[in-house]
Amino acid sequence: MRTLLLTLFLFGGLAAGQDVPWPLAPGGEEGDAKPAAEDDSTDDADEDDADEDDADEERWFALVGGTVYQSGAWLEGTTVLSKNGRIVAIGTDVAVPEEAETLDVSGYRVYPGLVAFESRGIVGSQPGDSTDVFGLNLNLALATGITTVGAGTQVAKLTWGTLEGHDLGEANLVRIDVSQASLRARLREDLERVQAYLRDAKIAAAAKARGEDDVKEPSSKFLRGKFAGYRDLLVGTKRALANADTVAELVAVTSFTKRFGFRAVVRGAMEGWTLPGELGRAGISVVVTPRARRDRDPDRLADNGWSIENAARLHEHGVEVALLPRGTGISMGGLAGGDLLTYPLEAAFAMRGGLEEDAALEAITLTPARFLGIADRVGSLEVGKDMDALVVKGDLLHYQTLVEWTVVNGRVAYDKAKDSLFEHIRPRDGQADENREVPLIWPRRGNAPESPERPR
Amino acid sequence: MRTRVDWLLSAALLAATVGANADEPQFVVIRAARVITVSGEEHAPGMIVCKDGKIEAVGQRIEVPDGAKEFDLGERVIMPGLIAPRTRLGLRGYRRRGNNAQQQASIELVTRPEGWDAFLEAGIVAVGVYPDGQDMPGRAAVVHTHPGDPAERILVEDGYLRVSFNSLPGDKRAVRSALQAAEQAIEKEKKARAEWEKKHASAQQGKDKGKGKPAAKGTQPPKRGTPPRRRPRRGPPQPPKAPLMAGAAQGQASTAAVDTTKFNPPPIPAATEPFVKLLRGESDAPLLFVELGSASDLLHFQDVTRKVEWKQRPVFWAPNRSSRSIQTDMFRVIETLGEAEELVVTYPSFSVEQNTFIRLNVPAELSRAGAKVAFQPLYDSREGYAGLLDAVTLLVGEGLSREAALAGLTLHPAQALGVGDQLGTLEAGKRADFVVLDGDPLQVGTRVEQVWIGAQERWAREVSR
Repeated sequence: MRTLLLTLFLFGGLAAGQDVPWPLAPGGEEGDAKPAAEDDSTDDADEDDADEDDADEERWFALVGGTVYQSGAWLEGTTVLSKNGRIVAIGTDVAVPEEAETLDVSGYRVYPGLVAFESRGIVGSQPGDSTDVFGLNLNLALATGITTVGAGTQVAKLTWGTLEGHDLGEANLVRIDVSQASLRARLREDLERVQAYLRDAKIAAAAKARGEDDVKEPSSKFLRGKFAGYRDLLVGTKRALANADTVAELVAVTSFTKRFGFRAVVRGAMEGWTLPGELGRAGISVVVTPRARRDRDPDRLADNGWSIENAARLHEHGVEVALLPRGTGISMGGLAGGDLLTYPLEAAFAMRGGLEEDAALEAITLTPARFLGIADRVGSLEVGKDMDALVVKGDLLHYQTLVEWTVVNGRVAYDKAKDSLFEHIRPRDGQADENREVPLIWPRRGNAPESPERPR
Repeated sequence: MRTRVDWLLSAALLAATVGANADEPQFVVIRAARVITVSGEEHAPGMIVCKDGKIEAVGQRIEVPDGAKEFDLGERVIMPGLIAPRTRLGLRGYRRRGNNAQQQASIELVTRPEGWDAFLEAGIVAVGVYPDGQDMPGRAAVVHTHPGDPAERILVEDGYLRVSFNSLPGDKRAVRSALQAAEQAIEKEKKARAEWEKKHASAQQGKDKGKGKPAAKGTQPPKRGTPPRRRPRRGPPQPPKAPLMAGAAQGQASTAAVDTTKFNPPPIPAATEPFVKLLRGESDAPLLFVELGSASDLLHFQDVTRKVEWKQRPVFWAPNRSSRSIQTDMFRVIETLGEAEELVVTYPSFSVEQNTFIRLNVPAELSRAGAKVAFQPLYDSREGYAGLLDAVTLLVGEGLSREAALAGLTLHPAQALGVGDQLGTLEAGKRADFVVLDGDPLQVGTRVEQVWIGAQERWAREVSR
């Protein structure tokens, strides 16, 4: 008996940020949880109503016996158990409470749910207020295995049929535009202003600490709108987001990150492969599209244009790489059409260019989550994180693989066998036809045969 | 305003005339081959005894009171009058946005709209006329469809409060801000009350000084603070606005008169008041008629009204239909609506699962899941109403229960309009509004032959067969 509980070092702050509901002695979960609930109900008369309600609504969910991908390792025969949407245990000998909803996934692979750095038309412009949680695009995104998306400045979970836990708030990014000289000049001015303020504020604080009386604090009135964002940038709580494809644009971004010492995510970075070391040193991360093509300009001597090796080269040089298809919506045009419907294929293309599989998977899960500022909740299967997973038979990055189940917040959000989208393609073995309700079908137009169930 | 006065006058006149020749109760007895009550069993043959326009008794054999007018309808079938809960037939559209909860659609019904004979031809005795517009355009009116005089025709002036909730995020924001305004109003009143109680207590302590002064000082500032400042600014347009501001004006008048002895709550804007009542769970809180566009809208509505403890569950308008361009997905929330036993108004039509050929009978599934289904024809037109019975009949042919179909035409729409205690079934005490058919209502080809409203024959098909 080996408890497969890998604790991963991810990045600073994660360990501090995650709270694990209760001790994780395998097999002891149930026993631990119940006395705790009883204690609550006897102790505080005021609060026990709420606590009891919570206890009633305890939602257990387990993916049992699958081959679980956990940041570089495949854990066989492993169960992932979640409570109220959070993972509480991962291991081969996890005791699953009786009331838990379980999904037997032995023989299947379990990956963390995919995270799309950017999306269009999957969730609403203000997710909490306008997402169609029964929308077709949302359904298709779940069928691809996507569980979290960035949308505009917002981040949202793809919760099917519920608004609970849907809205994740604002992304942790500040947009900057370095595409024109005038904009760059303006940006420099603004950043310098905020920088000067921060310096003065620091001096004033230090003077105060020394006990000086007439300390003049700098005015913070201007710190609104974009300036508030720039302050977050310079303080280091947010990252900048800039579009840059060519060498010139990339260099412009690096000049800013070096000069002001903030971190930036560059969307595009098509020519990043020509200066990967430079980008790595400048603290730049990238969101690249492996299949974005631009032919080499023969008039320029230096390397330029696209390269299938872009993601691999950047990764080798220590640049954090996330992947994104050319189109960020859901499109029905063509096979493997370069939109979010074929998101995993982008990782496959990055591997074709030399990226290792682990890095490629991370580039569609954990890395985009980190860019969006939600890596403490999504992006990998770990205790304390959200129960967002996808289940496939075979390799996720194979073009023929279809997602069988997608789990979001410990709820099955997509089940291929129950959804009319891909149900007919390679029906799930074992339960092919027995339990399936054959729906009443409209007679098709043309000379298609009429459904026998049609009442006369 | 003037027309209202006219109505009142005519109503008074009518009452006078009726009173003159009807010291004794007027009994009407109607016999038919079959009487479908909807509330219970069917009587074949059956008879209805009516007294002063209301049903006295329904059954197979009832003693006929002395002096009763008797009608024998032969082989015909009687059922409660049909009710259409959501119409604007013959009325003009207009655009109004935001919270206009104080408005009433009944003001549009000074005259009987054109084309309403279509209702009678379809056997519809009462309709809910909804106020047009976005967000919360106002209260619907419940109106009899016969061409009688207005005071008699309009049953309810402040029917359901329409909440259009099919264009997110705007509609969700509108509901949220209305509820927030109501919360603020409640908070404001709480504060004012606490302040008043403080002053009142101190006033009672210092009895020598006389009760009047301190209490008056306590109550006046919050009220007088705003109105006097506003009035001069408004200037000329004030007189026409007076009727709308009636509530607020009354509040002020009463403060001036009795502010010493009683706490006078600060005035609440007329459009906010219904939501204040809703949040407080008062018994006269309005019935909400929530117009959904898609299944997801229901979840958003539940999300935004989480704090409301419903005394009266809202009615949901859940259109289900499938055409080449429109495919609704109401089937996604059938369980949700069914479990809560919601009252759902929907089209009597089939639909398909989106982008598939999988056919759905949403009304049947809703009713099986536990929801109460009321029908509103797909088209708000003469043709739409004429085809109502046949459309429901088709649903019955494919899984809808007979009980649900009949209740969906009569009782449930009456409940959706908040008049379930007056209309919708043939029971003692309810209004004697019913239709006479030439056969079973749930058989294709059955026609409406007569419409009786208030135990009077108000319409009959002219063509003899």
